[in-house]
Amino acid sequence: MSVQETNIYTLEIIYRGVHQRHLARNLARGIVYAARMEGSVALSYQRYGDDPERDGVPAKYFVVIAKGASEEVLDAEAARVEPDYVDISIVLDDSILKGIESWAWQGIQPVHLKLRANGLLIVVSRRSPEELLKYIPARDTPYTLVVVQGDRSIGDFWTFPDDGTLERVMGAIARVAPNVLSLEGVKKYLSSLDKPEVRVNRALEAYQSLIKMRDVKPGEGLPYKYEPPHLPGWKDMMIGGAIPGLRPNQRNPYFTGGTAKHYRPVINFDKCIKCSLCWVYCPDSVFEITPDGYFNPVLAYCKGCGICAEVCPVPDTIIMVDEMEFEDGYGKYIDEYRYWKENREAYRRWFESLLPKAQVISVRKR
Amino acid sequence: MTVQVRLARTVKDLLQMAQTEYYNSGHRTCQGCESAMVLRWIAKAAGPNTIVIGATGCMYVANTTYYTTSWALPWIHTQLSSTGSAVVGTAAAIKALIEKGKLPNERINVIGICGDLGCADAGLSEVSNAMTHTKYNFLIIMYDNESSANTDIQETTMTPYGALTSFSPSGRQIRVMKYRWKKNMAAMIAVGHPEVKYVATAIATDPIDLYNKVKKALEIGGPTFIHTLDPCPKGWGFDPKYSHEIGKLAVETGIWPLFEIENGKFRLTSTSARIASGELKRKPVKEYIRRQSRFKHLTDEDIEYIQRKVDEMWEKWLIPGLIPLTKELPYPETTKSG
Repeated sequence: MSVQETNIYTLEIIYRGVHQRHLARNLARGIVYAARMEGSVALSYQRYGDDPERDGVPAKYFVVIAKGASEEVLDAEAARVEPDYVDISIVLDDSILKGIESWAWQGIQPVHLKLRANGLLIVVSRRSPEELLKYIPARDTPYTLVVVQGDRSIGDFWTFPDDGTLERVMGAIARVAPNVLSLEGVKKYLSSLDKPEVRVNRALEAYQSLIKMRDVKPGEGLPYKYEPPHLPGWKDMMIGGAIPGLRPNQRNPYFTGGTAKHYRPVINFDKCIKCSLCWVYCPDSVFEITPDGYFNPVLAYCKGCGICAEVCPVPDTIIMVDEMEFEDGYGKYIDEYRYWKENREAYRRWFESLLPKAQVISVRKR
Repeated sequence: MTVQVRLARTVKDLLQMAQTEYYNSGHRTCQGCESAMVLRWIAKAAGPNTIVIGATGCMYVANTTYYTTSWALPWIHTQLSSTGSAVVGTAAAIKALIEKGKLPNERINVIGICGDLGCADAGLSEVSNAMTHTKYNFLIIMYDNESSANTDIQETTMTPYGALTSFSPSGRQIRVMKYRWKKNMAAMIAVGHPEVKYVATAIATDPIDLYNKVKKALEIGGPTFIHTLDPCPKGWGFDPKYSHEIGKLAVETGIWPLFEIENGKFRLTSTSARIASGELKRKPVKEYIRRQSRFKHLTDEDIEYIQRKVDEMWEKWLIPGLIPLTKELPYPETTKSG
């Protein structure tokens, strides 16, 4: 088995802030309960600083499971902002593979930054491991990529979409890391909830059908080197802790927020009537006015809310397309306007190929 | 007397007059945050000669992630409840410095920005006191997302009837935990501080209206106040792409009347004016309520109750959305006994 043979295992759950907060919390709780039901001690905690959560900004939960250790050992293990290393990373939304930028000065972190050598990266996705590797940066140590079949589970602040993602992920952990969480423990926990048969069946389904695994060698993946910016300490700061302000029209260089999106706007400049509504209603001031009066989204700063696509008066001019359709990321995004300027015909074909994959815009516009 | 200031009439005017961004990308707000929209348009309307004072709240934590900012204007943080004092102090200091000749004699806008907890709850006395300081020029803006959204949605007095918050969950015994009706903050400022020359309500969904109101408030001088309603995808429970639509519905259903009181003269503006003149028909509040999961536990009777209250506000109040005295003044009992 690929998980290190220590008595203490740390799991990390990476999820979309607010959209998946109930799913992540229930999953963390579920793993803890299941581990405790089979006699281990365990606890979970949210990464300090992720709360207040923001819609879309990637956030983390940690679960520590100690086999044959006392509660005191566990408390010492968990009394920290975040662990140094984790044995298993669970990614609940595959578009998070494009990087995590939770706060300023962190830069865009690779999704497996905390993963131990030979650790497990479990991703909920509809894609194959080979496809997913196109989005994951290369690293120096090997790890195993595991794909749990499933669509992106999105809820909101008050609702938990009980769509089986939780059970499937637990079943998958039991399959690939039985030393961390046994199938018996998972079954015991799920049986204690409402609708026990349905839940246990979902977990078993994932347990039995999980075949999408791939051992990733060092150096495989995107050529991206994580270099966090230098965090200013008290000696670097100005008197009174004052912050150097931006110049008008300058964007914040130390925090982009672009990793918050799971959909992105793609613009058909041929149909654009230059009404400027997307520019007016963008809460993140993403649109840049081009010399000939078009509005070009600076995707690095786009959080992917989709308001521009909603307010655009011309149908199929701004469409919201799943992030996973694009292989850019990690701070480098395509410049749609420049692509269109360079080759309008190719851009039109590209746009039309994306059109069937676009997120449905509200009925009001049709 | 009305203020002489160039106002925007169309979206094209906005594009022409307000292209420069003073509150730009790179803040840690939610997807589809309408409060960020409010700040963006306030900054555009105020222009470069402005000092912004932000009280603790969502828009403070989100905009100044450790040692970075997305403001191109001088911005200072103040405590949760001290917006009023900080704004008056800053305005007074600027006035003194100009009188002593230490600053050039030109207008410097002072804008205080506080959330519903920082303005209508904890900071109410400070804001109210500030509004009596007629010697100084400043604008206080209350961005109201109807909860303490920064600390994960707690109830404030501005939370509407029936809404779910962490402090007002819905249970089997008590379905509607927040039974108190929302405070009428702009009206409170207008009626209780008669020397304030400009009080208005606004919404980021209507940026032309918001832009003009900020321009007017800064031009007219003295203490001024604007109350904005900001749809919050996190706390209200809807997909971020609907932020704009929910805001529009709030105005169209009549829950959020847009008005301004300029030198004591009340005027409904934008969509609300069209509703009052009969040009538009008010939509049922159900359309607004059923779009948000914070109201998911409300029954049809609850919604009817909200509809009745909103109807009452439009049909019976002395001034719709502002003065909750009924039109049949003076009351017969009062006249009899008096």
